[in-house]
Amino acid sequence: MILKIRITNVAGIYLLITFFGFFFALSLFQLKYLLSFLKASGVDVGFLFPRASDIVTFAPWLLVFSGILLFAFVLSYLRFSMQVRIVLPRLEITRAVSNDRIFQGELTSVKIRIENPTIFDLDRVILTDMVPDTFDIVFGENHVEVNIPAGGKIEFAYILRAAARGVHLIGPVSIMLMDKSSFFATTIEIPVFSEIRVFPSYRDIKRLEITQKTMGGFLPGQHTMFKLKGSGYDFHQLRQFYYSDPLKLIDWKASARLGKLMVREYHGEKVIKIYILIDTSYTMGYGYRRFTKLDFATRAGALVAYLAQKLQDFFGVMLFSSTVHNFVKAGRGRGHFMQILSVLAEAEPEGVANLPGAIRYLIDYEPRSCFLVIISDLESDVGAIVEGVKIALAHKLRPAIIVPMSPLFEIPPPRSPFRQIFREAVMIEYMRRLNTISNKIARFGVRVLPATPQNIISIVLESYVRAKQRMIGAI
Amino acid sequence: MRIYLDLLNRERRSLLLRYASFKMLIVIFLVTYYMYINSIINSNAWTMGLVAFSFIKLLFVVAVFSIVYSFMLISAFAANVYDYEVIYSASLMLINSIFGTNVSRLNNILVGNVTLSIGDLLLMILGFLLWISVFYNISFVAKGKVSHFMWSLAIILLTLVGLEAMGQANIMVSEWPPASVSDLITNSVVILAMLTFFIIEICGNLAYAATIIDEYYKKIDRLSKSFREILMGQIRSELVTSERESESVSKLRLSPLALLMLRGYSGMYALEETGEELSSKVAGLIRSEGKNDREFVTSILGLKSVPRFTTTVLSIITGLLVKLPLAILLTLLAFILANSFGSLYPELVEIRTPAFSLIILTLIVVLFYLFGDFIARRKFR
Repeated sequence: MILKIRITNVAGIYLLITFFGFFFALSLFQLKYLLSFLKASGVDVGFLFPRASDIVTFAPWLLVFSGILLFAFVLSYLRFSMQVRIVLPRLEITRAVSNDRIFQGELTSVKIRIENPTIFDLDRVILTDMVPDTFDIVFGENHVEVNIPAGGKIEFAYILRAAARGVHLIGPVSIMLMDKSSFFATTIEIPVFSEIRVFPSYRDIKRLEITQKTMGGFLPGQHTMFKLKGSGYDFHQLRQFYYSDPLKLIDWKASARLGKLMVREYHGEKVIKIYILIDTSYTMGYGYRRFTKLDFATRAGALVAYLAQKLQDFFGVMLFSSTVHNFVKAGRGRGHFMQILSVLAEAEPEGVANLPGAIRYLIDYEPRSCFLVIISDLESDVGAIVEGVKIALAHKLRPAIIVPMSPLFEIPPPRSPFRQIFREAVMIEYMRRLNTISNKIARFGVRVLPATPQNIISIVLESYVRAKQRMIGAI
Repeated sequence: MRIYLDLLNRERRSLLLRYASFKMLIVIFLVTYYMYINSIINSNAWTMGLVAFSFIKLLFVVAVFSIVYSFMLISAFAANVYDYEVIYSASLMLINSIFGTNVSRLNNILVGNVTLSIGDLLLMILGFLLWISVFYNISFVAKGKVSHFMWSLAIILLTLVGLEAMGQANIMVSEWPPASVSDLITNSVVILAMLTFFIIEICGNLAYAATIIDEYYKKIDRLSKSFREILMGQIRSELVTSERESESVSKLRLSPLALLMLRGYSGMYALEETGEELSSKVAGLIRSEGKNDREFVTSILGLKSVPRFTTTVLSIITGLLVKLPLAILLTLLAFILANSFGSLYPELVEIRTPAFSLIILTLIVVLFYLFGDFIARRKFR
């Protein structure tokens, strides 16, 4: 390990004194010649510096003094370089993260322990545990300025709030070492990393849960929406017999009791298969910090997955741009939901969207009919988008495309008339392009739903509920 | 959790005590140093330094006067008044009313009647530098910046030489090489050098200790405040939130179903993304982590990384005991070596010059550094 030792400005001034001493001593030796020369030239400085000739005796003493200072400096440097060479590589640093899988907005604690097993003291250490800006430090501090004696150890901890979804690395630990006199300094980064996986925010899911609780365990309209009358095992109602009804449905006991033919009706729950396709192209990464289009898309995806899990549907997810980055085949259950969340956490904006490629990939793994929720800003090639839709429809995949309207996600609310005009102009141009794409896709009976930051979650939910009502992708 | 607050308070008090004692020591050493400086220089230098301040103030007044006079001249000419004497007097009066300076003194300067010799001016500059070094040291004591301390030393040493040349200092210097031990003890330069060396080592180290304590004290203070706020519920916006919540619900006319739903939401919405929500989450996490790991709370409050200074004073002394004698020995070795070259080759004028001594010294410094570095690498590979 090669470490650069910096000489601080304090050492600079110290050396200035030392070298000034040397320089001055040498000058003083020449002073008597200068004085006699000036006197011979008719310039008398005796009135100004009456003891100028006396201070020539200073010269050797100054040389010795400066020499001592210089040797002291070298000794300090040797001591510091020894500290750097011996102690720093042997420092034992461990980091403990209380919870490395959390939801966006949730907290986790980080504890750092540093041990100095050597026989040398570390005089002045500034330790900083590097935290990416996707976390907020809500309590405690991630840095400490301290000394670590030989064989000693220190510990510090802090609490982080996950501000952005993703897979983030905490670390490295940066160490700035200084000597006691503040002459030298060196910085080193110890590669101690911890991975924290931040799932999309649970806030929307919590809201849904609260709504469910207030509605007595049902979602609004759930009991009427998702039942399939006529089949299944749950009793629905008795009704009068029509001639078109099969004879096996007649309830003879009830018919005898009521004196007319009655039919027993049953109902069963609809189960659909849904895939959430999220475009992770680089344009989806635009927007406000921590509130990009992709962040909204993953939040919406997580919510749909949660709802599908609650309603016993099969659900899967795909993250795609130029290639398919992540794919989870449709399944159900709590474990599957957690897997989906884990995949959504990994979504990073990169590449250019390739919808046809993603659909073909999906068809390879899912040859049967299903419903697709595609969340994409449709900022790639229009022809490719249309082709993707065509391929999907040809293989009985029924898509609904949710389009985050880029200007509303990216351009801040205008504060001046000029910006207002600019925003309007951008919106007009954007809507013209979106309408063109929508019209092209609408010919195939596929809905393109423009979404704003305010309604993107509800639009995604609505498209899911519609699919459920219409049995799109029913198994 | 109150026990942790007590612990924090105890630690704060102990840090404050240590901080104060280190600062006191720094002040004592600096005062001692200045007392010695004062004993070897003429007190006239300090007085002239003060005069320099008033002189600078006077120069500033002159600068302001020239601006005022120019404006008044233009104004008077615009009003067709061409009496220079009146304009000049009016400007002087105006300046006098603003700064309260002595009019006759200001007038003397303005007409070029200055009775200041070059010697006085030089002394004033040197005295001024002395005061500047004092200010640097005050800043060093207050802020703990070692660079200020170093600048003050550099200024003092430069000023001392100037004062000695001007005959305003009484530095006793014996001829080199010293004939006896008394030559060394009574030598002002030796005493000054020793004091300077000591003060660099001691004050530098004490300042480092004080700086670390200061940083840590501030940290403990910050953490203590936020810990109290979180755990004792001292959150100012609490009332504001509840008022906002009740107001928003009561002002609306809602159906029973909407009211039911709103109740479910309001509890969460009212607190969502607020400081209260975050504080309660933090408090909950600290409590739960504290149950699993008893040392967690002390770690997060910074109590497990308190700087320790039991060995600091000891290390200062050992540092001085090792560093100073070794540095003196090596320096003397360099000069002895240079002298022996001189006696070996007396016909060569070059090797009897001080520059040659300096070259030998530099050579020994370089050799010593390389040797020390080699030993360190070999021993602690």
